[in-house]
Amino acid sequence: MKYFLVILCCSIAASGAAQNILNRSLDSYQAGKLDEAKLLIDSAMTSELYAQQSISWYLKGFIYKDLYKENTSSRFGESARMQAITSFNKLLEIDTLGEYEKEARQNLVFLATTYYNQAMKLTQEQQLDTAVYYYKNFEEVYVPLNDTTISLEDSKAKFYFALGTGYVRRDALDPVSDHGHRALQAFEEVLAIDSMDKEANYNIGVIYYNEAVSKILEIDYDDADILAFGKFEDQTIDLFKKSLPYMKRAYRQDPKDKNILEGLAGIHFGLREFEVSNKYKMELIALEDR
Amino acid sequence: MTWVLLACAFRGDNTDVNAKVKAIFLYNFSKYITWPEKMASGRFKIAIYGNYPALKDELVKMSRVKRRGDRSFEILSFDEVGDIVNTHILFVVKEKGKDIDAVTRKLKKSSTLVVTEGEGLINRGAHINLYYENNKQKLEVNLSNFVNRGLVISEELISISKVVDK
Repeated sequence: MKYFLVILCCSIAASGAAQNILNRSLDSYQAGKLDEAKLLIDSAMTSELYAQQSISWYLKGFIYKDLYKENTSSRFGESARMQAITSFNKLLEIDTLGEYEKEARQNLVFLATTYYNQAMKLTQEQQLDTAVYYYKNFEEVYVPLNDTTISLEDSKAKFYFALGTGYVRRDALDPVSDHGHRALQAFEEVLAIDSMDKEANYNIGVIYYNEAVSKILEIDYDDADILAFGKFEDQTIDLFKKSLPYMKRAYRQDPKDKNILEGLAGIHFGLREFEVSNKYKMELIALEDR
Repeated sequence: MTWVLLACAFRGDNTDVNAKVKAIFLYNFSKYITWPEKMASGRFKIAIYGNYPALKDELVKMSRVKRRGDRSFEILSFDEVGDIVNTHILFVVKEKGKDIDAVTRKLKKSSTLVVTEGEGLINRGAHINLYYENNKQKLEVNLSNFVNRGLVISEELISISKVVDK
């Protein structure tokens, strides 16, 4: 903050008396009167003169960023964050000398991170559509920066994994709606980044497996006419077969994971491949005996 | 991420999906097979010879909600050949397939539909044998055994079965 204020004071002083309204906005900002600083900078920006100056966007970015920080959970704070992002992006655009580039980029990274953190928090709170919205915002702000301080792939994988898990949990609470399909899409995003990710492979395997098992366990006896049962089994076998390659990939990553061994035994049992199923059951028993 | 791994849990832990499928088949046999008039009243009895708790559980669940016409179902199980009594259907679990000769001797004068799940049993007295082919549950029937016991199998059921004694 000190560094920022020194730059700002010098810059505004150097730009002369005409910058009076910017000075007043800066004074208010320094005094912690953010609402007043906002009014003044907004007023200044209505003038073409100020709107063409990097320093104006620089100050506006900081004012709105702090307004966001003071109002993180309100609509106003949300709007302030967007204004701050717009300001710092505009600053990068017009600051041809790169005078403020480092700070503008740092602030944009910070603001992008707030979107990401919010998205992750929302997955825990089961606000999954909103989580996706904030994650997209994160990408929109962060990707153009070509910044390397955050691994975009890691962040994306972690987010989509958390999102998929959120859909799995929602599916457990509301099995009527098809949240499993959305969970699959989320876990596939993780695999698009790392096809051998153990947890994502395992979870997709479980989702397909559970769908097959649910179909069998939930079918009514009178709906399961033996004359058409072959077609019904085509569906369940297809699901068991879809599950298998994912669970096998998870197994390759960790052959001693009991959940995965249980999964493979269950899938092969569903496919009536009893010898293979028993092989995994024996591996599981051997692990449990240790 | 272990907690997430556990969050994605298997549906129906310890549930034998193949038992549900067998229960569906046995229930369907009650619809597509006709028993002699002498067995047309009273409860419709399905029995298991051998230890198959998952199948028994499924059949008991089915019997609580389904009927065959105006008849309720009764589910029984036997551990020894000597315990076996006449029922409409007797399912012989795989491990008890070795007792098939004793079972058919015991049921020689009855119209009990004997259902097995073992290779070769269809030619040793079973009416229907369940087997797996291309991952799917299939059935083979011995039509001679049906005639011998006064049982009538529907053409529809024959159409989806492998007939071993054409």
